[in-house]
Amino acid sequence: MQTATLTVAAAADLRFVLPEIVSPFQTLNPDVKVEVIYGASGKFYEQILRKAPFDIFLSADKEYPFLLYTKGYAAEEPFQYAEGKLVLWMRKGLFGERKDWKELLTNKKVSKIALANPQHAPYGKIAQTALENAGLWEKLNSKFVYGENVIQAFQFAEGKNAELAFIPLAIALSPKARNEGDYVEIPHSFYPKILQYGIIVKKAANLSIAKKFKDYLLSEESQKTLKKYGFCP
Amino acid sequence: MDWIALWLSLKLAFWTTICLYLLGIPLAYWLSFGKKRQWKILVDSMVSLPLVLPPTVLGFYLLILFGNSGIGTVYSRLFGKSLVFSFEGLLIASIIYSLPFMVQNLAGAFSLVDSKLIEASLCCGESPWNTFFKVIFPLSLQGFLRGTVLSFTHTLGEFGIVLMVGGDIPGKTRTISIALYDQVEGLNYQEANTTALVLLLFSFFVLFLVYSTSNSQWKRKNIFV
Repeated sequence: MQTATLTVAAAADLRFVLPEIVSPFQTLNPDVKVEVIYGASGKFYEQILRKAPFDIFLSADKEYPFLLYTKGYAAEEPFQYAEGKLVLWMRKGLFGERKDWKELLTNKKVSKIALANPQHAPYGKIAQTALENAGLWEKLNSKFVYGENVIQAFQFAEGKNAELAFIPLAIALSPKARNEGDYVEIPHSFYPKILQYGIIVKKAANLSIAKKFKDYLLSEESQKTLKKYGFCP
Repeated sequence: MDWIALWLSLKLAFWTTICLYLLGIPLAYWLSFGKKRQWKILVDSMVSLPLVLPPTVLGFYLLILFGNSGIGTVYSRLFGKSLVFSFEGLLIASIIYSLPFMVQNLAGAFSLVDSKLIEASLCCGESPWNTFFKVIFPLSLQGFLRGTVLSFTHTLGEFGIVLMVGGDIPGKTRTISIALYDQVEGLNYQEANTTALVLLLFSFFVLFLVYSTSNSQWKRKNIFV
C-alpha cells in the first residue's frame, strides 16, 4: 500500500544514478511513493523560493542549498551526498586518440562547444571557471552553445550539433554516452571541488519520510552506487 | 507511455473547455451582438492576445500574478495552497491561453447567423434566451464544434506556460507535453517517440473529424469556383 508521496527535485546529473537508489529505497519502504523531477539546480532553487511542493532538493552544488538554508527554506542544515567531476565529452572517433582537453578545445574540427547554462546550472558555472582558469573562455566565446541543463548540453554533442560538451562524469558514464562517445576528465587543478549538497525542504509534506530518504542516500549502499557513476565523495 | 500525464492533460483540457463555455459564450455573444464598438475592439484585442504572445510571456506574468502578490495571496489564504505548481493554476493559465480559440470561433459563427432570423424570433415574442437556444445555437453549431476542438487540443498540447507555472510535478502538473520533454531529457527516445506519435495521431484524428463534419466549408468554396 502506498500511502505517502515523496517528491524529489534532483539535479540533472543525477538522472541515471538516482533511479538505482530510488528503486531499492522503494523496496525497503513499500508504503512510500518516490517521485523524482530532474532539472537545473538553479531552476529548482527559484521554484522552492516560490513554494514548490518538493520534499527534498538535491543540488549539483553547495551554493543553492546553503542559500535556501540561510533564507529559512530548509528543515535542517544542508548535507553533502556526492562529489562530482567535470569531463569533456565527444562522439566516438571524432578526434582519433584521446588528447589533452585544452588541445581538444582548440582543435580545428571544433566549431561548437556545448555546456549547461552557467547562469543557473552548476556544471555550466564550473565549466566556465575551468575555461577561465585555462585562459580559454574569452578565446572560445563565439563557439559556446548553452543547454538548459547538462543533459541538453550532452544532447547537442550527441546530436552532432556540437563537437564537444562539458558534462558531469555521471552523464558520461551513462550507457548511452558510453556507447556513443568518449570523454577526457578536466584536471582538478582547473576548477574548485564540485561538492553536491541537498536539503530537506522545510515545508516537506512528510518530514520523517524525507529524513529516511536522506539517510538512505547517505548510506553505504547508495554511496557505492554513486561511486559507480563517477561521484566520489 | 506516461498514462498519468496523459490523463492529467485530458482532465485539464476537459475542464478548460467547460470553463471556456461559461466564459466564452457570453463574451462571444457580446462581441457579435453588443453595441459598444470601441470597447469591442479593445476586448477583442485582449482576448486574442494569446494567439500572438509567446507562451513564456504569458507564463511569466502568470507566475508573478500567482506568486506572492495579488491573486496568489488571496487564493492561498482562501484554500491554503499556492496557485503555482497546482492543477488550479494550470487551469486558469489554460483558460486564458485557449480563450481566443473558443471566442473567435463562436463569435465568427454567431455573426454569420442571419440577423433577419433573430429579429423574426424576437418579433414573434421569443425571449433573447430562447432565441439563443432555438435560433442562434443551432445555426452556429459549426463554430461550437471548432471552438471546442481547438480549445481542447491546444490545451492538450500547451507546453511553455505549463512548464513555467506548473513546474513538472508528476500527477499534479506534469502534462503529456511536459512528459514528452522529460522523456527526451532522459535520453529515452523510444518512449518519447511513442508519446509524440500518440499526440500526432490524436491531433490529426480530431482535425479530420472536424473537417469531415464541416462540409459547409466545401460548399462555401464552391461558390467562388
